[in-house]
Amino acid sequence: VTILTVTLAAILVICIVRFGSAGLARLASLRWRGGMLAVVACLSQFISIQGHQYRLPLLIVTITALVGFCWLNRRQPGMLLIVIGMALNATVMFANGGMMPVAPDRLAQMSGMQVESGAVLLGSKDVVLEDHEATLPWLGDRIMLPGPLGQLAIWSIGDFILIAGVTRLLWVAMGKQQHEQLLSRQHERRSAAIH
Amino acid sequence: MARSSTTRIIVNCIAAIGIALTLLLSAGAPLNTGGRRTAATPTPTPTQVAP
Repeated sequence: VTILTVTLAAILVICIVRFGSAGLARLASLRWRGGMLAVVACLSQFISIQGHQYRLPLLIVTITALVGFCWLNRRQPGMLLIVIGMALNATVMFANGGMMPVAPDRLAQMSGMQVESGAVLLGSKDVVLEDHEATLPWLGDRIMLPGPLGQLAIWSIGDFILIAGVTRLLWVAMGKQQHEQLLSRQHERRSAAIH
Repeated sequence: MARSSTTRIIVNCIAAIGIALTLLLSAGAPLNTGGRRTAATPTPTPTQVAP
């Protein structure tokens, strides 16, 4: 939670520096549809992470809610990247019993913990699996940032693509030119739908 | 009037950012231990089956 909050805050700071307070005013006009679906998806993941039970059914609930949310917001910029990132994470988690595989050596590198393969990490969606035991291990949590940043988190390819999608969305929503283009595209679509 | 408009902008911004964060949390939270060592559940012992 912390690392994602910090990441999102960093993206926002960059956008605010670039577009100023007017960018925030434009961001306020961003309208999500079906926001409750995102909340349901998040709650379902929270229950899965805290309870360590019914991982697969809860993952199905999460993904169903997210698919609904993405469909309702499909015209938002960056949504294609968000869907791709989400699909990659969902694929590897479905293939590994509803959990995200992480290799023991990566975990040891990040936290200094020596954990046997097969252990489920408390308070996370991860299961420790050697590459040869995991399905699609290259889509799992295995990317570490260089230097001291590597101690913060282990990321999957899907995580990065998702963050790229959210960055694009915020950049377009807050940027004047991009925002105007977005509004004019929405207006054209509405006009086309009426006629 | 201007005050309520500012409040509306702030509330809408928080809502937009909140949904973006919720989306990230549910679809792609990376593994992080927040600087502390994470406890791990014990590996389940496989059931012994007699030949």
